[in-house]
Formats: sequence, C-alpha cells, structure tokens
Amino acid sequence: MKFEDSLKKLDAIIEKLESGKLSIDESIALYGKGLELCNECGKKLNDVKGKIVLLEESAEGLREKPVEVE
Amino acid sequence: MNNNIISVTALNTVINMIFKAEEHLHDIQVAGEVSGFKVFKGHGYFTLKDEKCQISCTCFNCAKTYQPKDGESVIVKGSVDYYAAGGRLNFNVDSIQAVGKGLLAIKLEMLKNRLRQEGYFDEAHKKPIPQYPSNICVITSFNGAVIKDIKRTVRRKNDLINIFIKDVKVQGKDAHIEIVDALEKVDAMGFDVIIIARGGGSFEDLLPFNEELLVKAIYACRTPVISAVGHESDITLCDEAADYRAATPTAAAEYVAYDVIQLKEYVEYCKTRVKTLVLNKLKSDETELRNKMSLLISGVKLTYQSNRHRLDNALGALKNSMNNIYVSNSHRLESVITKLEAANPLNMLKKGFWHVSKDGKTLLSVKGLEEGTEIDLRANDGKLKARITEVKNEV
Repeated sequence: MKFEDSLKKLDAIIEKLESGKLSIDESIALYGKGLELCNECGKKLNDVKGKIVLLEESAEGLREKPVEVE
Repeated sequence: MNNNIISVTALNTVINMIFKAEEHLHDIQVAGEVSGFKVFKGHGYFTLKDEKCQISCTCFNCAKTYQPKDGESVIVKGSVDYYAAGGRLNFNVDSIQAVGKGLLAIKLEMLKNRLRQEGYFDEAHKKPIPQYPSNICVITSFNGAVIKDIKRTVRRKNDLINIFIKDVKVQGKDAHIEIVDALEKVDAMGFDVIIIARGGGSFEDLLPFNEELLVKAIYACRTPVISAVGHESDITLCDEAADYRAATPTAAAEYVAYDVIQLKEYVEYCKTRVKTLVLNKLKSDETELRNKMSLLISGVKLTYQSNRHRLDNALGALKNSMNNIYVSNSHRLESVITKLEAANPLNMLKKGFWHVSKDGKTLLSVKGLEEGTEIDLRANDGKLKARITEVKNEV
C-alpha cells in the first residue's frame, strides 16, 4: 500500500473512533488495524533510505545509474 | 593582392577609420528587439536583434534614457563604434525608445492565447500532486546548479524520496525536442511526480519552455508535472501547462519534499490517539457497566427492602395473629379450667358429700342394692367400706 493511502486509512480510523458511535468490538478491531497501519508507516519512515539515480539512454531504453550529487 | 604586411593594430586602426568615416553608421536610428538587457555600473548592455541578425549595444549612463525589458521592441539612437583594442563592433546607444512588445513576445502571446482556447491550460485537466511521493523524476541539466539545489532542498527534510534525474539540454535550438522526448520516456516509468526544471535566463534562454510541442507533451502526461523554470517573474508556457507551477526549482523541491520528522511525529500522534480513543471507549463502557450494575444492585436492594417491609408486616401480622390465638385460647383454657375445677367431685367431697361406689362403679340409685351389700364410701380425707343395713326407695 502507498504511504499516502496508509495515512488516509489511519486518518479515517481516527475519525471513526472519534465519532464515538462504535461498539466496543468495532473499536477494538479498529484499534488493531490502526496500530498495524502506524507500525507500517513508522517502518516505511525509518527503514528506507532514498537514492539518487541518473537515467541514462541505452538501447533497451532508460537505464538507472546511481550517482552522487553534491 | 597587396603584398604589404601590416600589424593587427594597423588593421584595426584602418577598420576604425573606415567606420568613423562612414556617415551611415553615425547618428542613426535602428529598430530591433532587446535581449539580455543588463545594467552594470550605471551602463546598460544588451543585444539588439531581429529575426536574422543581431548587434551588441552599450548605453553609457543608461539612467538618462528608457530601460527596456527583454523581448521588447525598441528604436535606439546612436552610432556604430569599432573598439580597435578588442577588435569588436558595438553600437553606442544615446537613447532608447519603446515601440511596444517585440515580435517574439507578440508571437508567444498569440500562441499562449490559442493554446489556452484549445484547453491545454485548463484547471480541470490538472492532476493533483501527491502529498507523499516516493519517486520523483527531475528533467534538467545534470551539470547545472539546479539539480544540486533540488537535491539539497529535498534532503534537508526528507531522506526517503528517490530522486531520478534525466539529463537534458535546457537551452538552445532543439532543447525542447530533447525535453519532450525525456518527458515521454519518464512518463511511462510510473514516477509519482515529474519536475521540469531550469534556472533563470534570458527570454531567449527560456524559449524551449515556450514551445507548443512541450505544452502538448505535458498535457498528454499521465504523471503529475511540476514546472520550475526560471525565476519567479518568468512565466513560460511550460508553467501554464504543468499541473503545478513552482516559482523556482528550489520552490519545487520544497513543495514535493514532505517533512519526514514531522510525519514521524504525526504517526506517533496517531498511535497515541488510537490508543487513547479506544481506552476512553473501554473506560466509558466500563463506567457505563458499573453504573448499570450499581443501578441493578440498588434495584435489588429496593425490592428486597420493600419486600422485607412486606415480610416484616406479614411476620408481625402472623405474630399478632398467633398472639391473639394464644390469648384467646388462654382465656378459653382458664374458663375451662375454672369450669373443670368447679366440676371437680373432690370439691363436692370437701363440702361434705360422699362418693358411693360398688366394685368401682358409682352408685347413682338404690335400685339393686340390698341389705348386707358391701359398698365403698369416699370422703374428702379418706375411704371406708360399709354394709347396707336398710334400703328405702324414698328419700
């Protein structure tokens, strides 16, 4: 799932919980889902390191070449 | 051919003399379009051009006259000057007069209006720029300062985004063809956003970004496109067609790079919020449950108390009733006892009566009794046996 979608789902869960219209069973189910999404987002924010890549022309199309940019 | 060998100085001196002697080159008026107008130490420097040719111009103390913008059509008054030491030809401008927008600028304006009418700049067609892009592609010159600015700006707050760079020419005759080709290729690669970037430049430098072909390619893109061309005051057709126009390449980088630290804090906040909300729900349900239990217990107590009252009443009534029965029976008993006592034969004996019996049977009559029969007599204080001496049937 895209990060943006995960956050949207998380916001929707909080909104539902804030509505106060849920049963205790529904609340607990959303709690589980919400924590799962938080952990998933946290992992994405902590684990990945962005790269810088130059797209070079080649016979097969554009080829990726990692580069350093000062 | 003249066989005389002369020095460069001699040559340039001759050229200078020719230019100075030519009347058609002095105190003349020339019409053209201004390009690259700059002021340095009070003097104006620019190029005057038309569709085929151009000439360098210098306007000493340019504050004395009109200062044109790039692309503007003007009429300049002055003289051709040959700078012998540098071997350069220059037009010394005495005054500048504006004659409205330059031809190129007019053509560009017409193109812009046509493309607008054809819907290439329609807001409805513009795609939203994703808030948290993972992969961005920058179409720019790899060797320019622009890519460094973009990288620095993105990394300052975001070390997650992958930055892909497609190196292209960003000025010159065919630059727009290269940019269009790059755009079509990277559009097919599924990036979250494409940034077309170039630093500031003259009106001519930015011409590739005013090409119809580029506008149409941007319009056809499936990927959201950000245009970041020139400085804030330069608005190109590329800017008009893009889904988002950033004033500068740095501004574009600032726009796409979400703040990772802030986002981490937000995710932590969400975590706490979810926990708190569910905990509150549990607490509120527990309180509700407690309230219900308390109500139930109170109800039971009330019922018990109310029934206890009834029970007490019933018990009281029972007790009273028993008591009454007891009292009433007690009276009856006393009366019976009194009666019984009154009827006690022993009491009669105390009064002097005797009890007469024969063989254990009370004798109630004289009948059957004869003289000589033994009978038993009982008085209050003792018994005796007696023999009948006479029987009389009358009292």
